[in-house]
Amino acid sequence: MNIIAIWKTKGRNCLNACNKNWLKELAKEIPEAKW
Amino acid sequence: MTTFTHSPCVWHRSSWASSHTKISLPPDMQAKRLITHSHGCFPHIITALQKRALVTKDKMALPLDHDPTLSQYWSEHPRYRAFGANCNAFFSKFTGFSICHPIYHKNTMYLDTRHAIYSAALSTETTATFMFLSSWNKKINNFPYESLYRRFPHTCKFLGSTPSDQLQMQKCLFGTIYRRPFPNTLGR
Repeated sequence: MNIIAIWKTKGRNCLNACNKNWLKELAKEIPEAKW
Repeated sequence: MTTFTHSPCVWHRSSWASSHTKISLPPDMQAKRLITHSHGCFPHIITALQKRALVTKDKMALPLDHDPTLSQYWSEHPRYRAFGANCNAFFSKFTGFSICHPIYHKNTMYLDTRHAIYSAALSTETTATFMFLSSWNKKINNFPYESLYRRFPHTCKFLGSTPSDQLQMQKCLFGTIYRRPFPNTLGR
């Protein structure tokens, strides 16, 4: 199963503004996935 | 939470969903769908997306499967409004932060991906949709959504891939088979 993000720049910037390490932390919480 | 096994509840829920969505799948896709598709199957992934990616909506869910911690969910059939579902995600743009886990049917995955891309392009609101889609493999051309992914690289980002044998499924609280013992006719 693939996890794909479909976003606009505003959405991506919003996530980065909230927590710039969000993707790294997401990867830690879903260790079975290949990131 | 348990690692995937061929539990009856997964089969039950998937067959329940297919009877309502009325989509006939080729045998190979049916098998994959029975194994992997259930909206409530990946609670830790949904929790992680809620915490890290601000997800609050589920665009493709069923009343029995949706995660109640998400504030809104969408189902296909109007009858699910009785259970708090919004009807048909395609009636409006995907806005805000949401997950979308369509059934593993080529055309459905293509339409969902296209709708998410157009929503991201046309919406004025902050938008991010996290799609759970069937993995592409050697038969890469079998998945039309993959062509959209290539055509819109600025909108789509591949985050990760989970092998089907490592998907962690939620234990189903309903559908447990209880075998009632036969009555002892001999009176022993």
